[in-house]
Amino acid sequence: MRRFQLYGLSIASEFDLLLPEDSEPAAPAVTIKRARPEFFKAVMADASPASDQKFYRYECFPDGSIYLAWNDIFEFFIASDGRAILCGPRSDTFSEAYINYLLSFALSFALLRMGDEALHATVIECGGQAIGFLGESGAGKSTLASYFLGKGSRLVTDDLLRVTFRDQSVIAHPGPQRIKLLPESAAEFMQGATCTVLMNPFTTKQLIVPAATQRVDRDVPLSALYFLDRPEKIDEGNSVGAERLRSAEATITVIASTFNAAVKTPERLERQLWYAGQILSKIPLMRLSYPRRFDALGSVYELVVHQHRQ
Amino acid sequence: MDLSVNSRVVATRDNVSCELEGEAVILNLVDTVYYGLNESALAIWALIREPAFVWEIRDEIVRQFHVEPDSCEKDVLNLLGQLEDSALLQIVSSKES
Repeated sequence: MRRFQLYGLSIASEFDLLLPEDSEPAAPAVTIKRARPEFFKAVMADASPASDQKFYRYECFPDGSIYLAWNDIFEFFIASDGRAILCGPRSDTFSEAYINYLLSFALSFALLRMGDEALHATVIECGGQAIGFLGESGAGKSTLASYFLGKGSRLVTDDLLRVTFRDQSVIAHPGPQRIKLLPESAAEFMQGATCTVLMNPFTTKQLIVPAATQRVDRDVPLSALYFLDRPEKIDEGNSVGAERLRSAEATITVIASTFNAAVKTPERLERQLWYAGQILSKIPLMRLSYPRRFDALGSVYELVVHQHRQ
Repeated sequence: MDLSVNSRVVATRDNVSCELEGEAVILNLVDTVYYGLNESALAIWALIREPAFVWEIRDEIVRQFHVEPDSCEKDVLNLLGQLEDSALLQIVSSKES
């Protein structure tokens, strides 16, 4: 078993997760193993036919264990306590894209089973503090983050953000040093980076490895969250603005920005509410509006950095 | 039982709330719907965590927010009606005080 440090957790894995290895491994929070096709056949033998309309298959068994699959792209089984993830072989198993789904999508279910939460966020480090960008897929989180990287910021995580709370601080834990970008954003802002693979056959998003100087591998205190409005909700004008969200609207925005929307048990919803309260009692949440044009990102950068320094 | 100024009401137990900057979000654990409460609604919510007559709630809100009693009573009954419709409140009794 190899040991890796990810999201502030020690992870043991049978195969290379393409992460820095953990030199002083603690007891693993999660163990990742391969499993044979026969295992998944047995697991699914009594499952009812897929009925939901999601793009992926999600089955939660009576003991709390979970099965996830998406066409030929991935197949995972998560133990009821979240401490083990079993990976099924797929056509390109253990590729960068497969590992990306494992370390975000599958791991988010394991975190929930362990009583933890995560945000759907892209986070950069700027001046020793982290800034998180929230928003739906396609809202522009990664593109905005890549602009910050070009200005000297460093990537903390893209997609899944796990935080812990220390006194009055929210600590952001680093994720895989990859960023998912549309090719035009990658060409504009990440020319010195390594493009690895397409995420899946249904998107043009690429998985990009930023340069070593654009990555951070240690915990960073989170100073603010910015929620990126969907482009269609933004006026046609050129205005760039950020307003602080308060109380109920902020709470609901954080809850809506938690990473995993599939699990809606009362226990999970109660925890989400507590989690949102913890975050918002310590750091501000801003709504960020700007036209989705590359030439507007400079103004967004100036605004965010200005607020960050105050 | 109909809700009136003489009703005794209490918040149901199947919910959790999170307060922030004088407002709150309540999660109804039965239908898993979130509800937002502003400052005055939060004050009323705090008063019905234990059984209370509506007139008691009205009088306390009049005292806290320095508002006119008649319009306050109407607003309190309106909010309590919404909470009842959302299964966040139950009427304990409707007897005269």
